[in-house]
Amino acid sequence: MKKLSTILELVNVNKHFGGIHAVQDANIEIEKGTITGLIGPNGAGKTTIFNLITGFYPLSSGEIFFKGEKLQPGNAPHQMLRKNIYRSFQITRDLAKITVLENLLIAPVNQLGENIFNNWFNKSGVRKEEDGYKEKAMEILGFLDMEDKADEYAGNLPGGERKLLELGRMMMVEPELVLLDEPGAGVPPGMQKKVNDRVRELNEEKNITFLVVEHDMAVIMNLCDPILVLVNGTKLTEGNAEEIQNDERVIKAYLGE
Amino acid sequence: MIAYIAALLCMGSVYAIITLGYNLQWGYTGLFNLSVFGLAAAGGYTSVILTGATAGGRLGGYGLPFIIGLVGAAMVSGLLGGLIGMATLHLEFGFFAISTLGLGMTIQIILKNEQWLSNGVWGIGGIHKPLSGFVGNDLSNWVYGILAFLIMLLIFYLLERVVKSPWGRIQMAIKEDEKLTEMLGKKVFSYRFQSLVLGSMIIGIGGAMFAHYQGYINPMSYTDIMMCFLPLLMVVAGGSGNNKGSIVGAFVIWGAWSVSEMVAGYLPISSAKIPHIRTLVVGIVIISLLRWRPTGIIGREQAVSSTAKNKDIIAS
Repeated sequence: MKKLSTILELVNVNKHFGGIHAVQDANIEIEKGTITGLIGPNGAGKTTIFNLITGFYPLSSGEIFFKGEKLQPGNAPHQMLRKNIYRSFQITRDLAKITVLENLLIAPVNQLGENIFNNWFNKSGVRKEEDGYKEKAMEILGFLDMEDKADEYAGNLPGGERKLLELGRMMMVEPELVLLDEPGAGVPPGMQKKVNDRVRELNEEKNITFLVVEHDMAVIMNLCDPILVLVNGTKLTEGNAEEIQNDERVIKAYLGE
Repeated sequence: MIAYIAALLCMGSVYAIITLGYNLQWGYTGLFNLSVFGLAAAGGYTSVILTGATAGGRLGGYGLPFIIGLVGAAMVSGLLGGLIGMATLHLEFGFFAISTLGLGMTIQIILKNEQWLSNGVWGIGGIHKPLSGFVGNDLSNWVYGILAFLIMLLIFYLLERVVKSPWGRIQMAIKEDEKLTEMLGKKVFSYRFQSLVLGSMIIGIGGAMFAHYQGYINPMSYTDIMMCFLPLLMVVAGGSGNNKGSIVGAFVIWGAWSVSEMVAGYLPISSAKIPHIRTLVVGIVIISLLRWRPTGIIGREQAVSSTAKNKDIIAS
C-alpha cells in the first residue's frame, strides 16, 4: 500500500467514565483516502472513540488532530460538519416525520434560510439557494435509486433505505471524513451490498475517507482496508482483512482465553 | 347573538395570536413551555402601563398609542422569554416544563405583590379599547374584533414565512432528533432560543390584545388554565406544527368554551359547579383528541419548505 497522508490522528487518548477506563492510551492514525475499519469486542470503546472525535464526550486526556490541526479538545458536535467531518449513528437516526427530500435539504451548512431574518427580508435569495440544493438532492436520490421516495416520510422507509438516506445526507455536504457507525446494523443482506457499493464508490470517486465501526465481520472484511482492532480501549493491531483474520491475538480477544 | 359573534371574533383572534406563538414553541421546536400565562400577563401589563392615560400612584400613565403598547408588549415578553430560555433551555423535556411553569408563576406573583408596578391584586381598570371612541359602544367589539383578526393574520403571514424555510425545517428537526440536528452542524441551543423568544413576543402581543379587549385586568386574568393549558389544547386540537391549525383550533375551542357557558345556564346544575365541569370537559377533550386524532383537526403539513413540491396536508 502506498503511503498516504494522515487525515485523523488520535494521540494518547484516554476516557474514563467513573472507574471504567473506556479508552486507554489510544494512538490511532487514519490515512487519507482509505476505508478504515474499527473492530473489537463489545465494550472495546469503538463508539466511545466516535463520540470523543465528534465532541459528544470530553476527553479525559490526550489530543485528536484532523488534517494536522487540533480537533479535540475544543470543538463541539455542531462544528464537525463545518470542518468537513460527518458522523452517522449506530441506530440510524433520521427525521422520521420529515420527507426524504427534506432530510437531504437540511444537511448543507450555512444555508441562507437558516438565518431567520433572511426569510423575512431576502426570501427570493433563500428560494434560489433552496432550488439549487433541491436539484442536487434529486441527483443524489437518483444515485441511490430512491427518486420515487422523495416525498415519502423518512420514517416509512425500510432499514436499508434509511442507511442509504444517511449516505445521501452525507453526500449533500461532501465531507472529507465520514465516521460510519455500524453500516450493517438493521440492513437486510441484499441491501447491504448496495450500501457497501455506494460507500466504495464515494470513496473512489469523491475521495472521501471513511472510518467504519462494525460488528458484522463479513461487512468489515469485504469493505475495509486497513482494519484496526481495538481491545479494552486500546489498539491491539492493524492490518488488512487476511492478516487480521489470522492474527491469534485478535481471535483470543474475541473468543476469550 | 350578533354580540356573541363579535365577542367570539375578539377572543378567538386573541387566542389565535397566543396559540400561534405557542405553536412555534411547542408545535415546531417541541419546547413544552408552561410559562405562557406569565408571558401573556407580562405583555398585557406592559401595554396597559404604556398606553394608560392615568397611573394613580403606580407605574404608567404614559398615554402612548396602542401600537406602541403592542410593540412594548412584544419586547418585554420576548425579553422575559429570553431570560427564561437562558435559565432553562439546557434542561431536558420534563425539567424544562416544570421550570418554565415555576417561572411563569413567578411572573404572576410579582404582578400580585408589586403595588408600584401593577397595582397588585386590585388590578388595573379603564383600559382603553382602540378605535372605540369613533364608533361608540355597540360597534366597538366589532371594530376591535376585526382589528385583532387583522393583526392575527399579519402574525400568521410573518410566521409562515419563517417556518416554511430552512429555519423552520431545523426547528422541526430539533423536535424529531436533537442529537442528529447537532451533528448536521446546526446549533440547537441557538435555534431553540430563537423559537422561544419569537414565540414569547407573539404571546406577549396576544396578552396585550386580551387586556385591551377586557378593559380590566388583574394578575388572575392570566391563570395557568386559561392562558397556558387552554392555548395548549388549541395547538393540539388544530394540529401541532401547523399555523392554520392553530387558528382553527383557537376559534373552535374558544367557541365551544364560550358556548358551554351559555348552555350551562339551562342545565339543572348549580352554578358553583359549572366552572369545574368545564375544566373537566377540557381534560376529556384533550384525552379524546390524543386517543383518536393525535394529529389534530387539520394535522400537520408534510413538507416544511416553501419550495418543496408536495404540500398536501396529511392527517395520519
